[in-house]
Amino acid sequence: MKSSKLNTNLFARKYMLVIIFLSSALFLAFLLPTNVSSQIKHGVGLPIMPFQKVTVMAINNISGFFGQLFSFENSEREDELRKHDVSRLENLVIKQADIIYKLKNEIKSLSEFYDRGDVSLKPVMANIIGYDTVEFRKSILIDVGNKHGISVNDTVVNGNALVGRVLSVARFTSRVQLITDPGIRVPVRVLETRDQGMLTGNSSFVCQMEYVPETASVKVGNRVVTSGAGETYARSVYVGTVTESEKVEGQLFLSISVSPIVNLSKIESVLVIRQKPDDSLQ
Amino acid sequence: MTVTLLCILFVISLCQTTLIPHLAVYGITPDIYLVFAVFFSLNTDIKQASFVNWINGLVKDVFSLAHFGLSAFLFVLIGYVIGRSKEFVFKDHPLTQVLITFVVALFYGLGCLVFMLISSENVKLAVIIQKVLCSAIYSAIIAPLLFAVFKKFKTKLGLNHSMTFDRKV
Repeated sequence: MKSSKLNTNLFARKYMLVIIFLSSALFLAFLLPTNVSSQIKHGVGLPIMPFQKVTVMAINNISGFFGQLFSFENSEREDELRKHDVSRLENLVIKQADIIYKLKNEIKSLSEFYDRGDVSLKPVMANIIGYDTVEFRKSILIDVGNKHGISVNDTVVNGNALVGRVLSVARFTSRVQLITDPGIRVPVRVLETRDQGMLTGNSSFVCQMEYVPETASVKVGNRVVTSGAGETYARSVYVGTVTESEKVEGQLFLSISVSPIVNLSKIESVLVIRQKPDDSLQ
Repeated sequence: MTVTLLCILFVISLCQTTLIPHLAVYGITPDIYLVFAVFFSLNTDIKQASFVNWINGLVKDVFSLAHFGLSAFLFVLIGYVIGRSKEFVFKDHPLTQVLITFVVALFYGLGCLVFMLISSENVKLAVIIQKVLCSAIYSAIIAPLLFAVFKKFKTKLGLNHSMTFDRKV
């Protein structure tokens, strides 16, 4: 009896550190309120933000440079052999073209947004400065925050299509939950048939539309938009197209796959539709 | 040691949040945090490995949407399990590094899956398991390369143990 108690004590002392870490990690995971953990995350992540910004810019420039270079590979093969200053100038032109391309995209994106004529919505342009570190979670870090009038649950779009929603906000950064994240729920409707459902992500490139009755006539190619129910997401924002719609035997609802219209792995900037009015922007 | 460790975690965070997503193959990315956790667990005692893995996991959680403390919890477990079994393996061999990283990545992925199921998130098992497998393979493939990089900081990290069999006779 005594020896077993002694053994238990020895075990506890030996692995005290491990036990403390495990308990504190579990405590953090389950008992810490989401807003507290979000603030901790933003606070700790703040010092790395400028470096993330610079790195992302550099990576985008490099990938843009190579993208342009490969597209002109055949026609410019001879030019590569020319003098150093000529190639330096070419690089400069490519860099400028990339910047122009990026700016054109931003203008196009803003114009498309304003073309909808919904003046009550106030978009803010934001650059993506970081991605999620966990494979199964889909989120991005953007370089706008409280200071720019962003608040939790603001809708995030690219052009006219839904990207996700703001999940947590700090002064200069915000974390956006993408529509492909398993934790997201977006009230949507099929544009053509007006059937409503709930869009959920599953960590892959395709989302699921749930709770559409099996009697609905949703077809492949139908467009899906936000329904505005729940008032979290702006109404009538284009989400994607139906790529699969089938009746499953014994199920009350259709199995519908929706392919997002935005290529979430390739976007560099997004628009945040602010819900709160801000006089400074009017 | 602390400064070196913080610098390494800083660089890992920077790479994982900015560079690594551009190296994604069909949306699958390797996990440098995990490879570092395996490296550290293989080269030090359980207590130190647990502590460093806890910090490593917390840093990973900071840059993620996942539950704060989830990776910390799983990394401490990983440090403990590797610490208990490392004397039976030859740490220096690339194949060992690949195999251990693969198994650990599978364990980590399944751990995350369980937490996702507990928190009632939309989990499509087939998709997640496929992701866990592919991510584990990707991480395992780059493990020897990252081990070689991390090995350069061994002395600065205070890891001066022999890189061969540690089993005491």
